[in-house]
Amino acid sequence: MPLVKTINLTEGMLIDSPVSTSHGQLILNKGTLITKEIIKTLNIWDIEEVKIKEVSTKTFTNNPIFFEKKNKSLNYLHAKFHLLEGELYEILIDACAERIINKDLKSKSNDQKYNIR
Amino acid sequence: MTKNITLDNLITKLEPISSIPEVVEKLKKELNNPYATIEVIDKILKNDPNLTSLLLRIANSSFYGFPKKVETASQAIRMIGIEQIRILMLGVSVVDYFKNLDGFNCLDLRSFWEHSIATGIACKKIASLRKDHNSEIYFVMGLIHAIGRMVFFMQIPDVMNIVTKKSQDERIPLNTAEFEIIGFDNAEIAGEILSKWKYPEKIVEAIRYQYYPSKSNDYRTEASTIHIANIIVHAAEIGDIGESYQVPSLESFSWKILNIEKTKVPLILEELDNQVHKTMELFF
Repeated sequence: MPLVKTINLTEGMLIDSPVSTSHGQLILNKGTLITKEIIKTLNIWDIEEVKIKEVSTKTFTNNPIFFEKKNKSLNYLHAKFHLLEGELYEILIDACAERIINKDLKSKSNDQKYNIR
Repeated sequence: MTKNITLDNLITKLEPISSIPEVVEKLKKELNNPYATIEVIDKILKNDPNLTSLLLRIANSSFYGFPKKVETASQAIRMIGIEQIRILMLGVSVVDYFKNLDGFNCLDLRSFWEHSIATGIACKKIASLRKDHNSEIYFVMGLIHAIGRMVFFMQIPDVMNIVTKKSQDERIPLNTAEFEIIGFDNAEIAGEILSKWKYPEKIVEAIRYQYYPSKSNDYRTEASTIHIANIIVHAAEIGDIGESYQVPSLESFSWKILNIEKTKVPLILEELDNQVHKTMELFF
């Protein structure tokens, strides 16, 4: 099992078995979908190892729940951002959609945390 | 346009900012004195435990992130600097002033200040991304950028209902609807108020031109910082200054002049998520 720091984690990978810190604290459940936020977290915690299942970006974006959430967020934000345009619009709509999904995922119970499959 | 509303009659209804506690006035006077000594300022602060406590909370907050706890007001002044404290006090005075006014029932006051504090934090972060380290003045600009909106909602709530409906129905910026119905927008009245209270020109002009930074002669960067910060805070849905149904319009000039790297915008959102609630605790 490779060390987390040697894994090129990308969005859309799935955690294949529970992930704990070296002190045994459970931080990610099996089936957790890797998001940008999780990558950041894994990089700052003392994770010794992590088992991951490679999932293509296509599978990730086609995941019905994620897709639905992302679409809902984008539609909602698009309506709200109707006075914005250009590069700032593009950056903000993407960043805010991700922020909404992350907040939504965080609000789930521990068992469901991050697991949107 | 509503003919009987003028800048003057809205402003004259406001008590002058000198109605803030005497100790703050003394402090402002002393802080304006180039020969001020820390001991005199410390003595003034000791007469106002609330102000001293606020100063210590600011000094010990994540706003500065000093590694060691700041124990006394004079220590805080030494570490932060007199000019920086003077600027912060200008912001605190305005928050205190408006916090204590009656007749504000149209907006959730806490939500209003949450948005304002978030805009201050976003301004500060944008300034630091641009390697401009005058963080206090940028924070204060953001913190008090919407006081004109508060004056509108406080003094002419019925007119503001019409203004808001127009903005929603016609899908136009709220400040545009303000201008069309009232004859001037919240930024203009905020500029007038702060000018009357003799606030620094940089703050006055940046707030006055927050919706059209390219029209400012001398403070385009400062006005652009408020402009972009306000948009980001609206996009992040933090607090409410009466326009929570949409994100204000962008003057593309501002985005260009600030030249913020694309990848840095999520850092501003992250800063907001980390700092807003902690900073709210300083004020409420």
